[in-house]
Amino acid sequence: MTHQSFSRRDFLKLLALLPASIAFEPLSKYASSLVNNTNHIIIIVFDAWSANNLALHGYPRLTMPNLEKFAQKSTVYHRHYSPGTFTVPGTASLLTGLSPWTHRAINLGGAIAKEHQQKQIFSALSSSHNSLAYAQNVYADQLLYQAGPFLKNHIPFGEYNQNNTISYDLPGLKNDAYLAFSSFEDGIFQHGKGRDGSLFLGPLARLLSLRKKLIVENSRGDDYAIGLPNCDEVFLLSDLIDGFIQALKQLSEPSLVYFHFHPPHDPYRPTHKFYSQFSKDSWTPPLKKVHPLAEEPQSFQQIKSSLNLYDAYLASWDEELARLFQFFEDSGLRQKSHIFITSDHGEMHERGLSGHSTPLMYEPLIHVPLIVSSPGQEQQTNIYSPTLSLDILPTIANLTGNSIPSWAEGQLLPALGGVENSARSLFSMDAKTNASFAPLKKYTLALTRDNYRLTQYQYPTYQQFEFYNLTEDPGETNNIYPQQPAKAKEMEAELLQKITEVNAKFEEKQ
Amino acid sequence: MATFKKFFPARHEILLVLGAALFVIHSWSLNTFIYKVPSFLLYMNLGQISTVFAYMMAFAFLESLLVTSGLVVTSALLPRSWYRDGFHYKGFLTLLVGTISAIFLQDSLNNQYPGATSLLIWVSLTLLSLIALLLLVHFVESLRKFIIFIAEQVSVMLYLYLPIGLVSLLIIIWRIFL
Repeated sequence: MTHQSFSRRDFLKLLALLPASIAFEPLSKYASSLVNNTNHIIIIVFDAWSANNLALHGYPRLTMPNLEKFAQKSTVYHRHYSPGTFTVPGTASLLTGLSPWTHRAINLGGAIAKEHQQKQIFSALSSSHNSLAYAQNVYADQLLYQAGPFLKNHIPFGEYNQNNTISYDLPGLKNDAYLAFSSFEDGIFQHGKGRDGSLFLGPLARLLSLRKKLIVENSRGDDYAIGLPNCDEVFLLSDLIDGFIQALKQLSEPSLVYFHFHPPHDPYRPTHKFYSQFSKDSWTPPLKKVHPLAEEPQSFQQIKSSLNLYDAYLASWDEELARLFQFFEDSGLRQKSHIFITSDHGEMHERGLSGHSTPLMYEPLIHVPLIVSSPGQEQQTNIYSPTLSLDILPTIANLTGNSIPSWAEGQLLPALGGVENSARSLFSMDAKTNASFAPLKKYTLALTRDNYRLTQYQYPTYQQFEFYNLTEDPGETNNIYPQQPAKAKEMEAELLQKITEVNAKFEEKQ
Repeated sequence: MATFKKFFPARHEILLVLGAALFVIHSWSLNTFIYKVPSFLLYMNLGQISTVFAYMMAFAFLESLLVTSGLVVTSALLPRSWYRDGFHYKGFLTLLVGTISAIFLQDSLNNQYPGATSLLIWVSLTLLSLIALLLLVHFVESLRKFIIFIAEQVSVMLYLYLPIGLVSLLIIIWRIFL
């Protein structure tokens, strides 16, 4: 190989090209954004779906084989976390790219703070993509209403359900959906969650709804072992997939699609085919000590049964998903879309507790799946560095050639424009009993970093730190905080600093 | 007007029953609202809580009108001596039994349809209790006087709940349509 000398003449020739290259740079960027903008962004959320219950992430049961097949040509994020432990904060963070202490949707029924309400994925992509969204969880649906005019097509909550009982999305109330929801669904008609505020019409409406539910169960419930799936209204898993496919068929211009499905949220309603699949296998979940904050703790046997049902429900849902994945392939949509499959929060079956209505914060509750299929992807890519739900908004903005919104608090996802950062600090928070417009005083805050987790439980009757080495103790059974390792002290300082930071603006106001 | 008088109870009697309906329905709604306030305070400002209050009171107002209309129409359909004569105390007693029965239904309904037989039993027991009470009050004058006295006392709430209901309704109409 010979090296030619770089002459003064060559330098001048190159210099002459400089203005042209400067002029062409924005054009090339524009061209690339045009190419990117032709792709759809499809975000699919399964409610209360824990990554810990997927063989993909090391679970001993194969609960979702069709999803795993889909993942073979996708990017799998093995350490993806939600910053919240229930629908409101988890979904709000996913939609806004903001931490719970910023968007302040931290209570059951709470809303995103007014100044952040329209800072959602829909506004971030509004100049390049049409938008279509649906949420089968009433709390998530409320957050969609808060997106305002940026969400162009909002499918009503009851669209794929069988017995429509919800009032807030009636035509006259849509413009006042949030307060109508709090008044009707949380007051006048409580759908069995408490006494109806309407003395006579409340029970009458409930009777009619229960009758409709019974009729549907008698006519279409044969496939289900212990009743139809229920999200305040009953539904069939197959109807959800059929409805979603129909909605996807209507896509013409590049679109941002957000579909938030209720399964596998409780009540777990598996089909007959999978009902006893996991109760017969030899695997038993590890026994973990009941946590002092577990209210009305369940026995280990109850928890095991609940876990078996949850896994069976996952398998039932996965069977329906096969049709969706096939549709993605057959329609060519997989080649024209970035498809994100994730969850708003996880689900827990340990320490005396089944579900997610708890101040507890452990891996099953915050470790959620994130699987992203990109156009032309033929191989599975595995990402092991930690990522957070907040990262989805800046990533899709970047993927579509839009500028990353200045408000976004997340980072670009590795393999989709970002780089792996294994030393990143991730925070997850639960403060459902703390006022949303007050400093954080009652909360659970977990800091995950360098494969360690420090969790602070800060409540009037219970103040405790827990510290786990997730490499040696992934099940978080051995709290090594009392031994005061240096790492725990370092992370405690970081966690307390974060609390001081997020509370500072409230103290400034006072 | 003459036709109205012929088929329907006297205006003051209707107002007395309306007052009682407003009282029970609004009180029940208010009770639910107060129960919810502590959780609303966590994430709603005063304006939002007031709007929820307006929604609930407006709905209670419309429900009261509906229930009273139902009783008035019933009185028009039944033979005069059955219900229209003494409408004020008969309507009041109907509300009383209806309220107890509705509360019982609210508390006993779980997430399963109770079935036609259970419902038939519930409706029959409610009607039988009402008929028994109506007969008792019809034949025992002192009891009737006492019931009328109570109904008149309760109807005073008309002056409180009627304006609350009307103002709430106007607020909601303004929010939805303007």
